[in-house]
Amino acid sequence: MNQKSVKKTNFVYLLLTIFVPIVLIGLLGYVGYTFFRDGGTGAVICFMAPTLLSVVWWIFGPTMIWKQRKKAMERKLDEQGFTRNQTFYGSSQTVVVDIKQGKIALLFFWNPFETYILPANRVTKAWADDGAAGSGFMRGTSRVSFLFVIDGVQVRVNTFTSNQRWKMNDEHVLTGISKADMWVQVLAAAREAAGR
Amino acid sequence: MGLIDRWLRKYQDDWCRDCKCVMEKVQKQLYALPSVTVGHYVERKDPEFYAKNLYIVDKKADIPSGIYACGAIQYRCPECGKRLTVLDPFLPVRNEEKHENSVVFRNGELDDILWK
Repeated sequence: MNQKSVKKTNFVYLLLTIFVPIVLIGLLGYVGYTFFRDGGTGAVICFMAPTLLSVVWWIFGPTMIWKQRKKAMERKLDEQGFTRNQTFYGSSQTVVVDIKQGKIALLFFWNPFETYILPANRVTKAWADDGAAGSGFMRGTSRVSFLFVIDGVQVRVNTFTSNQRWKMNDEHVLTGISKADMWVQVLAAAREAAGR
Repeated sequence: MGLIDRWLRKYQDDWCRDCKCVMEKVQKQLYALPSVTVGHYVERKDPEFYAKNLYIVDKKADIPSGIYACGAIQYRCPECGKRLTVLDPFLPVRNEEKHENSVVFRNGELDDILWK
């Protein structure tokens, strides 16, 4: 069981993800400028390759790491006898609950190397947010989520997101609300099992 | 009856296709489908599945969030006496319902289980 308090973002990882490619671009740019001032293949490699690789890294790198870490997390949970009763794969966090043992496992996109396996009674509050806004025929939502506070850290897990506002009785919104409500109940059941 | 009306009626569940008349509701019951949760609904036409997974409930509030409900209505044709059962699976969400396609059993496949 993880004794560390929950941290959603590992700033070292975040900064390395962003700045290592920039440093590489600068470094190879310097090499290109120093040694291949007249142009040629060397200059092309030094100036273009790191830039292209960096863009590819920024687009796919963290997502690939995230996918691998999610699989590693599942393996770890299975090895530890954690029964995955409910799993929610959010865009920036994965939440897994073992209702019977009263445990919750968390993995965050920006802190993918730390899997938190905690007693669910460390969740102090859990609620659903339907994101309803507007009035009359304009009433709707663009985000539905469930939230919980664990170790004083608020975690928001989106069950529905859109760049538009959808009516509250739209089927996608209803699905999102249902998932959020269900997860609040799941967390409550796990807390109950862990002993409030 | 006009052609369009006849065509529409053909696809209504409570319409006797033999006698071309509206069937009457005989009985209805609400069930919970605890094995089907939000985001995992798959349309099933297999009566065995419903026979194993339907549990009687009194009201929607008895069904936990994220669990599918299923309304069952038995219809009877007033002319030929033929009966059919229509299942209406839906997801209860607070005061709303998200309905899926209804499933019709015309040959009494579930009669022994649902209406015993």
